[in-house]
Amino acid sequence: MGKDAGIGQDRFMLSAYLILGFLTLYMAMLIGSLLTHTDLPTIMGTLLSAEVLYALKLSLFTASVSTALCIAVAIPAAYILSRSDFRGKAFVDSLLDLPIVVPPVALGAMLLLFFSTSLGKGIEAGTLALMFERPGIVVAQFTVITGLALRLLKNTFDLIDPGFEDLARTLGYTRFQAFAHVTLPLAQRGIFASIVLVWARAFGEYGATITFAGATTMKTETLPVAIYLNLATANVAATISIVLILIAVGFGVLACLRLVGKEARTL
Amino acid sequence: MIGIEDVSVRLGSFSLEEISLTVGDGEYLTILGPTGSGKTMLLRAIIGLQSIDSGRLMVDGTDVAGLPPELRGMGYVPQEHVLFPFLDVSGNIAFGLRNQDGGLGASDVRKKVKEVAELVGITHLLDRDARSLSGGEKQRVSLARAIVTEPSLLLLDEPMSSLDHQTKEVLWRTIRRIHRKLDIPIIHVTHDFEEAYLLSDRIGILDEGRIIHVGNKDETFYRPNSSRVASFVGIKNIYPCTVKTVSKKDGTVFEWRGREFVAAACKVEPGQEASFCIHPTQVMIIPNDRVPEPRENTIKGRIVDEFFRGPAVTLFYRIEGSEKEHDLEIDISDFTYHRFKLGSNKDVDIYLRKAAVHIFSDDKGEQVSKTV
Repeated sequence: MGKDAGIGQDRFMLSAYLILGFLTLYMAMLIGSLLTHTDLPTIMGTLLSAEVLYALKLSLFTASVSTALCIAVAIPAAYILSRSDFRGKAFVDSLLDLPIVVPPVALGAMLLLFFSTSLGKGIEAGTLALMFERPGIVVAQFTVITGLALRLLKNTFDLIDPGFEDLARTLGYTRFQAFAHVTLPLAQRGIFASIVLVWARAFGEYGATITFAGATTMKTETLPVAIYLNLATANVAATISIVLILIAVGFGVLACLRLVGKEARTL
Repeated sequence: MIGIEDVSVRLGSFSLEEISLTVGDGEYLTILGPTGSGKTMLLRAIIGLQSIDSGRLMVDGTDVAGLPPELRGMGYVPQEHVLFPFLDVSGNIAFGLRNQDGGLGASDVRKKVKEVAELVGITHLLDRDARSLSGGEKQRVSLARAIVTEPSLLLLDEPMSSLDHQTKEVLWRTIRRIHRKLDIPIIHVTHDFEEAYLLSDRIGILDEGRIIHVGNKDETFYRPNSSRVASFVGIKNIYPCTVKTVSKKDGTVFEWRGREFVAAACKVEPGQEASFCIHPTQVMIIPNDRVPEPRENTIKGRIVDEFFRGPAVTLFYRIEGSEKEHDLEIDISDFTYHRFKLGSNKDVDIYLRKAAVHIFSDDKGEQVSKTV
């Protein structure tokens, strides 16, 4: 029986290894196929083209601004969701989670419709032009990533024992001081990981951005929008260059997350 | 002087009901209670981490019940998560000093940290990472952090519950030294009898959210006010009896098992149905090689079983003519056990010392409602 069980176990492990190998090969083939359509000098040439550099700069800028705004509001909001109980909390929690499950293109449509109302127009008139404009990209990214940031940060705060904050308060710290001097240092790895993940999500955002900010070359052209525009005009070399940039960013994000995880495990 | 006056706290289905206690200047009060009795909730209410529904918390004549914890000026040593993991030992101890009104200078902070570390005996740990310390070391650092701000009251929430006995003993001595040196009032909650007996001036017993007894150590462990308290502090020898006569000079004469026994003078009335108890360590064995004197409170019987607890032995004793498996438990030292050649199925006489026999009329363990 023991021997049979051992053979069964080996078969299971072998099958799992085969599936893992297939998935790895599948992903490697997808990336490798990029190089079959063009060559390295062409890629390097298009990488440094004005359009791709514009899209790269715009994506870096808008993703960074939307991430900063998102984290600034998500930290206090996630803290309240983690630490407090209030009437309607489940509803609020679910409502704020919606951007995670609703397709980004639908969020973009909702933004478009909201800013077509008198309230939306009033907000635009009092602040910045958003629809089909560059600031609209930040609004679209912010709308998409806030739900994810809230979820990640709430999990981070949930894992920190409130006893540490209580202890700080017995040592003369107000609730805010306890949050600033105890909770934030304890949450720093979780906050860093959240920043990296939501930034990457904003950097790659396409659906809401194209719906709300449009797809105007050299205006609202972020990297994902640039892929769409270049594919539409059959500019394969430019498309591949942009995809490679996005893959490099993806690897960078994963490296950051692994580093955070490694540090957390050594504690 | 700390006064807890009729404090009630409700949290879900559990509540603390009209808790009243006083802690004198420099007094060490231990709240003893089983798990789930509300000990931690009481401490959290005193320090302000749990709001109270009614009652007053008086500190030197001022009601602090409406103040947040940061303004109560009390020190707190928790049971778990005792040290901030992102600070070293010095940083942990100095944590409360860095936020004080007026703000101490860096050199003053260092000086105070060093003084307290010397008092607690942890100067060798000051540069260590808080995460690298053992459980006992963490608790000593936690203690240092709680007293460095010179609190008006120190609250200890089962700080030694997860430590081994040897480490506990070291910490007991540390706490006793700190208490003697600083002379601050302490409220310490625990479920450990030995800890309570060793450290306390007075002991309160908390059961199901109610204080059912407050008294000094001997009153609590040897002269409890009810069967419930007696049973809680580990007295197995509790029996119903009828009070015959009560006199200050001759003590209390009562009837048990059809004959008369004598106890110390107690607050009972002649003719009253009551209960008496005697602590297992207070029952005396009369060796067989000595002819028992014909005196009161002597009982004939047999040792029916024994239970070795290391240096101590519990004897299970059946009274002559009894049909029970055993009637009394007797705790003696291992030395006495061997000296008198005791053992199962051995007939010996025992003697219930008059001063050690305690009678109480209240068998319900009702709450001690007045301020005590």
